[in-house]
Amino acid sequence: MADFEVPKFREIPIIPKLKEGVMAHSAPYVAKAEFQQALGFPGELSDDWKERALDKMGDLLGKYRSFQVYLDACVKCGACTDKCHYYLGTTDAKNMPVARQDLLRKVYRRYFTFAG
Amino acid sequence: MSFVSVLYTALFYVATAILVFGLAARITKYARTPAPLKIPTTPAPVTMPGVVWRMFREVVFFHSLFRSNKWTWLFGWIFHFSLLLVLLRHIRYFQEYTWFWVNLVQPFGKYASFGMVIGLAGLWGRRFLVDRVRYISAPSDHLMLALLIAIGISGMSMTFVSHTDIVLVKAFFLGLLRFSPTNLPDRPILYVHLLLVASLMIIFPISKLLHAPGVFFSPTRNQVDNPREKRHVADWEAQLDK
Repeated sequence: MADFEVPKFREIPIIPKLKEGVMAHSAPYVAKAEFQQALGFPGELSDDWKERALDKMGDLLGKYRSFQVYLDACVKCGACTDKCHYYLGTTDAKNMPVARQDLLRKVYRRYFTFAG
Repeated sequence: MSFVSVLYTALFYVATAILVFGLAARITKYARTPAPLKIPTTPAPVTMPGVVWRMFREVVFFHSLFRSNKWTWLFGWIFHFSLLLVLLRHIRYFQEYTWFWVNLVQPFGKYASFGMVIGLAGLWGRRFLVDRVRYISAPSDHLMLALLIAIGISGMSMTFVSHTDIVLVKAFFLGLLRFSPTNLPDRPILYVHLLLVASLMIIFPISKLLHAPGVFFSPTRNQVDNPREKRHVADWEAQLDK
């Protein structure tokens, strides 16, 4: 069993301070090429992955109002930052909902809005 | 007409056009984008009047923010409510014969400016002192708060420190509304205040201030929780099913 330090349960939780780069050691587990192809995905990363990703993002923005509205309307108030249990568990800064969205929002603003 | 007044006339026409057309474009984009999934945040209302009531509580009392984070709610609500009072007081510059209540709002609007600046200062302090909020604060967030605080302070200094000729200011804005421009009084603090307000109007449709119309379009707030009673299918999904 792995070694975890589990904090004691408190009625009003102490929100841990964030640490940067805590999850840097962990990366997605990429499936083998033959499994990917069986599912209909290309085996390796294709050369025009950027265009395809942006096309898909544009497609999703046109189809899901929640996506479009939330990328615009988030004011970074931080009320959500102490709620995500992934953040409370790992204290990785990018796990806070706002920072997580910002990873995507930066792409959104650069390519899809006037500000970019 | 003085050169500065000509400049400000042009500036305000441009800023108003950008604000109105930008907002109209964004709102039509939000309205046209389908919301294919029923995702009201539970506990959710099961009738449309319930949705209206929840939206009312959200907009007027910031209900969900209150339950989420009390400090943010305190500063945010004080700022927004004071902003409302200040904006209502400013209506007097745009009407020749004002509605009766605009005269009554005058003292509330004057002192609400303190509330506005205090609320903004609290929010800005949070962005420096709380480490998680400091991490998520981009330069644009700080600049937005600085812009609003500067608007508040420049306005307050005209009310409390050294008065400007508000009759001339009112004549200027009525002139803009009627397309017969007049001169502004020659006061630097007034120029600063108006320039900052115009820049706020210009960046409104491309900034996070879109949370104002956005909250009405947010699917987690404006959907009725009746997926079993009424099947909810978006247009593009119906096309796929065919």
